[in-house]
Amino acid sequence: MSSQLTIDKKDEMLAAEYALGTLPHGERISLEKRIVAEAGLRNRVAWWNSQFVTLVDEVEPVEAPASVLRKVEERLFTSSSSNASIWSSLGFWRGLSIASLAGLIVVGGLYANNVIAPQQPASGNVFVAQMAGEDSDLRLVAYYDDDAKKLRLKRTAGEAAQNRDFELWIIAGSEDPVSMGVLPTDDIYEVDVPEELQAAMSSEAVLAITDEPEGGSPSGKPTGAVLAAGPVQQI
Amino acid sequence: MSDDIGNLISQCALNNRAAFTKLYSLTSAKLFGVVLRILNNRAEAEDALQEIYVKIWNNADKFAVNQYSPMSWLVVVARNHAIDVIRARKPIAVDIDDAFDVSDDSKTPEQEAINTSEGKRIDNCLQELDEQKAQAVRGAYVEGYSYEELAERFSVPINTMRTWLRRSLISLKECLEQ
Repeated sequence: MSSQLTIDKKDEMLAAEYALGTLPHGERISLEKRIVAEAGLRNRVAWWNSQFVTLVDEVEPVEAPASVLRKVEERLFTSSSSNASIWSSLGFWRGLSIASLAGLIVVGGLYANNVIAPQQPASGNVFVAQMAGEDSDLRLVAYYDDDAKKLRLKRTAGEAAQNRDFELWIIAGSEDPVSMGVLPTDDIYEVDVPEELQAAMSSEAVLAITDEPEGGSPSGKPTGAVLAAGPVQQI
Repeated sequence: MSDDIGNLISQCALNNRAAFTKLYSLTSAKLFGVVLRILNNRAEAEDALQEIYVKIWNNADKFAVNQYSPMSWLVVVARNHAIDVIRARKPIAVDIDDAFDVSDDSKTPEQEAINTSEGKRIDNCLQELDEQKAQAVRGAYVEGYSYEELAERFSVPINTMRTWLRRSLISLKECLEQ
């Protein structure tokens, strides 16, 4: 374990000069590599930084032009690798809803009643959703009885990639997606809809499936591609 | 304010974009001031600020394990980037103007301290140095002066300047660790 006790005087000086910013370019670059690798040196640089940092109290704030934030957000949030942008695109959901709505009542109703509905007739209002995606072969149907408060999901096509999981989300109106859990490998998934989401399970909602790391999104928000989605419809 | 900023940085680590926008609105003017002072060029400072906030977003998860207060961490990220940029560019002709007038310590009430727990020990310890040496340290930190620029400003050979500064740093360390 390297510690600040073992750092020699020369390195102590380099750490101070690095934090101060006076090291010439070449020395700065080579020291940066060592800072990444050596905890003792890193600690000393951090110590010097925290000593010096209050010197910027004298620096007056200057408003940066609005274009800077716009460029930062473009870079961070609209690159092709970021699927997050899909989630905030109202146009995406609107297009999806219109495309899926036409066949929903017939197809969704059929699936719901013949494939995944429980044997007993529903006692409450019944909602269904048919989920499909443009770029994946994943297809699911969902069935929800608002008396039983259970959502049943049947996967009719598509499988999760190795070491990846499907995660189910509900998007109520313009709200952020809320996770309803990771789908098991079985074709049928049944989940008790928690009280706080029961009201969301309505014709205003969309159900969606994303591709996530094993065990589901680590952040509680969707991180992977939207593989399938569809609007909830009362039948 | 400091806790707010810490929370916002932690929210950025959880991909919370609204928190990022809030963090930017609370902190960008200070960081822009810091990099503008060092780079002394608006276009370069705007580019630098862009890079700095990309770094802040991408490294927000590392904030929790570092040793800084939230605002200090942001300033250190910003300053490191600005110094990297200025050291990489060719030495420029030094513009002898009033930019080195850092002995004026007057502060407006709106200027908040970075972190009171880190305190103002550095100011007290700088007062124990010769005035010119203290000015050299402040000029290096706040204006981002290189050894060449400091040597020119104080009319001493560059190696003398480095020796001066290193001696000052040793004295500062002794004082700061008391």
